[in-house]
Amino acid sequence: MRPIVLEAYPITLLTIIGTYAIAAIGLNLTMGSAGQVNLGQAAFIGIGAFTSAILTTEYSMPFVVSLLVSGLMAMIGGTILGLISVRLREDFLAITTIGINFVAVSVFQYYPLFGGSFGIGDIPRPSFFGFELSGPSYAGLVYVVLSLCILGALWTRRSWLGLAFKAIKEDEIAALSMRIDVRKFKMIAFAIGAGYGGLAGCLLAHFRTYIVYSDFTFSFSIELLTIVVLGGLGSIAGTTMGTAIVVLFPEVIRPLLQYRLVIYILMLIVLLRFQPEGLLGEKSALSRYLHSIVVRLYRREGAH
Amino acid sequence: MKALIKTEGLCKFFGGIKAVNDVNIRCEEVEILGIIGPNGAGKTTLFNLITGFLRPSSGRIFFDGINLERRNVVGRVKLGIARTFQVTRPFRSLTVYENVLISYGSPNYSGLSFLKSSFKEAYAQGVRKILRDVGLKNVEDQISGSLPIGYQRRLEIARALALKARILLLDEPTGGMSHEEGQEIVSLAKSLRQMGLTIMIIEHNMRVALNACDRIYALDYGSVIAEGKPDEVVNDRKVIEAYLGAGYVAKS
Repeated sequence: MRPIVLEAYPITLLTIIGTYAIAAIGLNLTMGSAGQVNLGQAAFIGIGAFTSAILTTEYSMPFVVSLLVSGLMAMIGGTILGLISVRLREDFLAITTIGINFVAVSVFQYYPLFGGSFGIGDIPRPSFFGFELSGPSYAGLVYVVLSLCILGALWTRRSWLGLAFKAIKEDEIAALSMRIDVRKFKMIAFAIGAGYGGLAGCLLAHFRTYIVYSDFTFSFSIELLTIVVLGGLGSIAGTTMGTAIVVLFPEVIRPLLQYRLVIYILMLIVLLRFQPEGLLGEKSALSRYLHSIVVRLYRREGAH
Repeated sequence: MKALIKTEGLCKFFGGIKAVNDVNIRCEEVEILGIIGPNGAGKTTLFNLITGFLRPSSGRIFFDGINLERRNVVGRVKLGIARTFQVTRPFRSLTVYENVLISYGSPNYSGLSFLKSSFKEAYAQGVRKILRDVGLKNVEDQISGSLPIGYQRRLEIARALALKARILLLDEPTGGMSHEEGQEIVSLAKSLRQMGLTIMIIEHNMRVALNACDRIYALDYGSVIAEGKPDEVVNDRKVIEAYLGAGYVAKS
């Protein structure tokens, strides 16, 4: 039986990396692409997680439906935050998004619908055609959703939506003069980012099979922020890599587990001071280095 | 001649300051209309009212007979009113090409068509043509924020053109430029008028205004003090007074 134990641990980590990456890529669309600060992403993960937990335990809804509904619920939450954000900028927006996170956690804790302080347990594993997904097969599901989310993010970049995001990030007044409805695109930015969070939340709930309000506190948002800044604002590959690093590092260095929030915040400060582009963001040291290698290889090819 | 832009009793007050005070102007189709006046005369405020960045305290603005009262900035751009900014506002960290592309694709930002791909040969060709027309072809891959001011002003015009507007409102397009660069912008404006565009141009420099415009309104303290052919307006007593002070007129 030993091999199963050995396999379970890395697969758990892989699953967690996959779910966190979905939420982080969403956050990166809001913050990196559209330039709208969101320090409360955990709230939307919570909305997704509780939506799916309630729908599957109370109303025995099929997993695929509850996955979509939890994404949708989080998107609605994100749209509301977007509506508020239209009137706020930078630091005030940041504080508001933190506030949203605290409000969401209080609601989860206060109302019996969300299981109060006990949370919701016995969340069923999804099953398809009588085959229950767990372990490697569940990880497979997570990575299918992650791949779809990455495709979505890549499409955003190619589309006019991506250009509208760039425009509102750079200069809202100029964007308005280019017929870009700044209010609408801010709301879309928050809605998409929150929707990704909702999907991640649903996947997290059905993986852990037990969720409680304290899973979605502000410190989770900080963890996701660290991932996005470490990976590089606007970089999808960077965010995925950042997720792996941030999830794995307390696992590798166990004694640091209880100090991890301190370390994340220190990491944020150091990054923002010395390498604000993150690991793989545009113009970051690493991506410039990789680019120079590619250029050199290409030249050598050309010389032959 | 049909008025493309017409204002009726347009006023904008900031507290006790009358930035624009009972302004009635007409901008005919396919003309270069100059708005001149000393600093603080209300020229840029007038542009902000026409483009919808500011709401008038009273009075009305018509574009091609349409009352603009209920239209916001985006709605007015959609009708065909494009502008440039006195202090240039390029999307600083994007390339010149991307800047113009964002503007060129403007019909795609309404409804759900923003989901469509922006990588299309037709778009690239359209953008490149505009870049060639305004003389930015050789800097298209440069980051716009690091360009010299002359290029940034051309970029502003390129973006306004890419909106396929009917009227361009140019806010001091020659500001901070050498005389030669300014002349290039003037001839660019003239060639655009030749293509059927209407242009309203704020100009601080009398010599440029004299050279570029078909007709001029002179503003001072928010009110129109003179209107007419360029040489008439620049020789108008009130205009000289506004620029140089009453004492100067008395001496000469």
